[in-house]
Amino acid sequence: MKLGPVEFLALILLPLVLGVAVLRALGIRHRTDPLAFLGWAWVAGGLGTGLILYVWLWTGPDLGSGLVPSLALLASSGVLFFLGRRTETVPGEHPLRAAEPAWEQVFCRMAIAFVIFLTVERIMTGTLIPMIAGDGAGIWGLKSKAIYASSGFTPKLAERMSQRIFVQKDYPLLNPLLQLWTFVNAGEITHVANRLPIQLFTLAQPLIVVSALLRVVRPGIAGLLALALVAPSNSFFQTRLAASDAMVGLGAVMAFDAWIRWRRGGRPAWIGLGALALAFMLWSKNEGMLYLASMIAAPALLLAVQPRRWSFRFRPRGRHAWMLLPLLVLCLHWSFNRSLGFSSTISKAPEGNLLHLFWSQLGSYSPEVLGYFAAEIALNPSHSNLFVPCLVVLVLAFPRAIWRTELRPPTLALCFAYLGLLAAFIATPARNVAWQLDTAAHRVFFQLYPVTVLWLGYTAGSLFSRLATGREGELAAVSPT
Amino acid sequence: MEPTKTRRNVLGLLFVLFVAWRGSASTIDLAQEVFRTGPDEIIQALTLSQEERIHKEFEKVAVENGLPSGRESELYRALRDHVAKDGLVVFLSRISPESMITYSHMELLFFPSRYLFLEELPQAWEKMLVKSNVECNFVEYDRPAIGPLDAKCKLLASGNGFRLLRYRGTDK
Repeated sequence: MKLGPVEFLALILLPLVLGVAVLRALGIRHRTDPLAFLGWAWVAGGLGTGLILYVWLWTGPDLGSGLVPSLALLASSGVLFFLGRRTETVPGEHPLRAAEPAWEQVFCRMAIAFVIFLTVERIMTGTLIPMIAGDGAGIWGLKSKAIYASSGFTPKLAERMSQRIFVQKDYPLLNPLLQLWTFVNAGEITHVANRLPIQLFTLAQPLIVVSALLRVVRPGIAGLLALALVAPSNSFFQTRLAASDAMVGLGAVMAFDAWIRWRRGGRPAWIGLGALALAFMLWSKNEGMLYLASMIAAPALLLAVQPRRWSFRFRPRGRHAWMLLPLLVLCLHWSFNRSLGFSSTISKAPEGNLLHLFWSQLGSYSPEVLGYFAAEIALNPSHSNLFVPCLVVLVLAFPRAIWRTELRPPTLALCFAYLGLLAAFIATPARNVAWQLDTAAHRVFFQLYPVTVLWLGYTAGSLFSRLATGREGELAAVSPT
Repeated sequence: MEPTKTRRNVLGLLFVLFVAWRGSASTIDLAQEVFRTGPDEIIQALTLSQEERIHKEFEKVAVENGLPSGRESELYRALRDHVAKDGLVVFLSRISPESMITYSHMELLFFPSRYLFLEELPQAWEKMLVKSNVECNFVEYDRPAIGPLDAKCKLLASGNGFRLLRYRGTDK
């Protein structure tokens, strides 16, 4: 069986329908946010498809037919649609308001259309390259092929993955599972089409980020930031490859957006969406753990420093059960690795654990890591458009405004995430840190680029009232002077 | 120390100028990217089969790395047509960037077939193969023919700078 038109539609539409059903169960409809909706739906559908495949693969199934998971996806969608019937809908809000100048709205619309067109074009031309090199093929694609060839999570899988060709066996499963979803639909291992489910996350990313920007900053700035979001060469490569860096970055920025919406609207649907984004982030790549730790450390520090000012009451409700989703994903990830005996190469480093490596290499590796970060990441316009130094300047210019308002948790979390990545490179078990930086730093630091772009928009809208948009302009009363 | 209202306005203006600068630089980069992509690439993306994409990529890699044109495609076809899905392929070649590129491509494309890169044939190779109980094949890549293999194997295919052989002892 090959991937014909019907199988191709099933590959895309079934996860998308599931994603729409998940959002409906949360109370989020298309009219809630027409721009971000498809992006959210693909993320939710991808995560849901991964969970269904995960359960199915433990049964040692016949992977020659995708009937069982397809039916499971349809059934789950039906149940979620039914559950979503009575869920209160989050009201829609048109991101572009009549109050803003027409030229700015036209510019913003053109920028969004250009960004979407360009991303689609990149995805299409990316399919001309079969998966025969790089991490997308070597780490993620190979794992999905091994699962497929072993008929699921069977003892054969551990044996097959003991081959020398397999590296980073402990990496999270979502990417391989979604590539396997293509194999299941095609009835065979493919070398091109299996990248498509992953590539579509790079289309979801600008939809989600631009929609978030339009709510925090005026359309002219949002349009410019949208163009800057997809311009770096790393964005180009992410769109053409099937590595998980784009996925983990997408989960982080989607969680940040959900947090902003929750802070400004207070609707529990955004907690659900944020939890879903965190689960997606954690199941995409191990850096997700670092970003989650940063997100937890930021409010924890605030509570420790000023417990009265930042304390909050939490009344658990049914819908808060979504917050268990990241925990569930972590349990699945750990239990899978444990059952097959996979562990991180870092945990097996003969020099000791990560913390030990960090302290022992702090003096010798710091200058090289910090120098590389400054020259190749922060001050390199083609990597991240100089947005990291801009972040630093804004934090230094407005310390009180950021320290005293709702800007503080995301700012701290983002700074912790950057520091965490720097610490991870200092603690690398590789003997040659220069090689490690050359091969990974550009790609890994770029995971935080979408969050940095949204942070800039959010902070600018909060600090400079003239740059804020609509209702957010009223909320941008950050006036410490 | 927080900026005064005037300073805040100045900083706001500087921020707008900064974003306009980065946004316009990004637009120029993106426009150049769009113009670099010809319509033929879009048409190919919509019409080429997976096999055609693989051969096209082989040719691109050959040009970029100075490999002989068409060799990788020939080897790919030979392996696809003659080697079983769970077979073993011993890749005999000198270590060079060219041989490593070809080997890694074939290993990724033909997984779950098991691939092994060796520079020389081990002395006890026949004993090892009989024990493995899987169909065993050899690729002699960019190197002179190995005498003992000719006596014990049958030639499956040959092409520009390679030979594909199967060990008779594990032939199924």
